[in-house]
Amino acid sequence: MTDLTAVLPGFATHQYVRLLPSLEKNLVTTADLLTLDCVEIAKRAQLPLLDVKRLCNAVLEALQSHLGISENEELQQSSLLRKTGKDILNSWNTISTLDDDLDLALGGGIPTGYITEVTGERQVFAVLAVLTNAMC
Amino acid sequence: MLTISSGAGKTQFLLTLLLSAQIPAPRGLSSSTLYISTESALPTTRLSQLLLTHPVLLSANPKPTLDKVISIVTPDLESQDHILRYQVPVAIRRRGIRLIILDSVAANYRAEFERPGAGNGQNSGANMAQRSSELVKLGQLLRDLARDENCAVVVANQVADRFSSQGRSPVLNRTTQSSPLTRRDARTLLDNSMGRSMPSLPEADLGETTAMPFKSTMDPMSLDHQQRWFTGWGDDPYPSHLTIKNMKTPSLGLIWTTQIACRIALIKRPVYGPGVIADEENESGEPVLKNWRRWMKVVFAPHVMPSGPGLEGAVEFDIKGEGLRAVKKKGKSRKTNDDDDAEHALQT
Repeated sequence: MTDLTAVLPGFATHQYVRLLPSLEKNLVTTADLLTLDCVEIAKRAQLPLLDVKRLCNAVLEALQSHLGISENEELQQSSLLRKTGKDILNSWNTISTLDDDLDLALGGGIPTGYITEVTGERQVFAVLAVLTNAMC
Repeated sequence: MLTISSGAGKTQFLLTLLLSAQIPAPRGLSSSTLYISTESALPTTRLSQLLLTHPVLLSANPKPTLDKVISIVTPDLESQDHILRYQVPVAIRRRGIRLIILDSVAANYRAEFERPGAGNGQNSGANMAQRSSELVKLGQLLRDLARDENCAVVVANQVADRFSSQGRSPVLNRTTQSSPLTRRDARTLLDNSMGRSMPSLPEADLGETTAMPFKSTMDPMSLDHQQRWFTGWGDDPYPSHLTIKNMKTPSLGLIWTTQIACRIALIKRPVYGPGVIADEENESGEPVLKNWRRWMKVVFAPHVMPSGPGLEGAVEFDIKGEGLRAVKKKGKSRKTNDDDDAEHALQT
C-alpha cells in the first residue's frame, strides 16, 4: 500500500486509516486492489469484507476521475485522456533551436507536454581517435 | 571566443533552448527555464556568450536574461529524486517555468547501480531490476510534470560504445539478449528471410551493393538486431567500416527508451586530412584529425517524421560561438538532387 500515495497523490486516505497498516503488512499493492477480488484481499489481510470493498471502489473511482474517464460527470477533475484534436492543436507549443533547418527537421522545435531526449557523445580526446585509426 | 568542444554539441543544444524558451512565440514560450544538472554546474560563461552573440537572441524583445534561467545541481540519486518530486513542481508554478532540462539523466543511475561490487553475480540482476523500476518511476514523474504543467522536458543522455557481433572478434560473434522463446520463432522467421534481403526496406531495392543489409546480425528478434531502429545508431543499411566501429548506444537501455516520447541523436564523425571524410579507407600517409562533422538525427518523435536510416535525412550542423547552425547542403554534395546519392558519396 506504500505505492498508493505515489499512484494517487490526492487520494484522501483518512477514511481508510484502519485498513492500511494491515494491507501494508500483507503486501497488498494498489494494483492488487484494482485487480484482485475483494474477498481474496479481505481474506489475505484479515479485514472486514465491506470495508475492503469500499476502499477498492474509492480507489477505482479516484483513478478514473484523475484520468478523466469517470462515468460520473461531477467527479470529473480533468480531461487528460479526453482531449479533442482542437485542444491538442491549441495547446501545441514548441521551443525553437534558433536555426531554421534544425527547426524544420524537428517540426518546429522541442514540443511542450512531452519528454524529449537529446543523446550524443560527450567531449572525447582527439588523440584517442587518431590512435584508433592508426592501429587499424 | 571560447574553444568549441569536441563533443557532439549536446550542451550547446541545451543551452540554446534555455535562452530561446524565454523569447516570445513563435520561437519561444516567454517563460523561465530550469536547468537541473547532475554533474557540473550550469556553464554560465557559454550561456552569456550565446546571449551576446546570437542574432535572434540579440534582436528579441524582451531580451532573454540569465536571471530567468534557474539551475540546481543534484549530486546523487536521492537528492535528484527529492528535488524532482517535491521542489520542481513548486518552482514551476511559482516562477512560470515551461522548460525543464535534466542534464544528464543517466549519470546518477550509473553511479548508483553500476559501481564496482554492486554488480557481482546474482546481485547484478536484482540491481538492474531495481534500476528499471526506478527509471519507470522517473519517467512517470517527468511525464506527469510535462503534461500537467504543459512544459517541455528535455533530458540529456550519454552514449556508450556498442559492442556488437558485427565486429571482427569471434568471441563477440554471437547473438545475445534474446529469450529462448523468441529465438525459436526467430529460426523460422530467419529461414524465410535468409534468401532475399529484407523486404520492408526500400534500400534493398537499390541493388548497387551486393552485401545484404544487416546480414551480420542473425537473429531478427534479438535486441541486438532491433535496437538500431530506436537508438539512433546502426540503421544505416550499408555501413562503412568506420561507421560500424563507431557504434554507440544511449545509456539506460530499452526501459528508458519506452519512457521518452522523442529521441534526438547528435552524431559526430571525424574528418581526417584535407577535406577527406574519415569513412574512406585512407591509406596514404598518416591521417590528421582536422575537424568534426556533426549531424542531428530525429530517431523517433510523436509529432514529426524520423530522419530515416543512416545520415541521409539528418541535418548537418556546426557549432559556432553564436550557437548551432545548420550546414547548407548545396555546397557540400556534388550536383546530386537525391540525398541518397549524397550519402553514397560520403560512404564509398
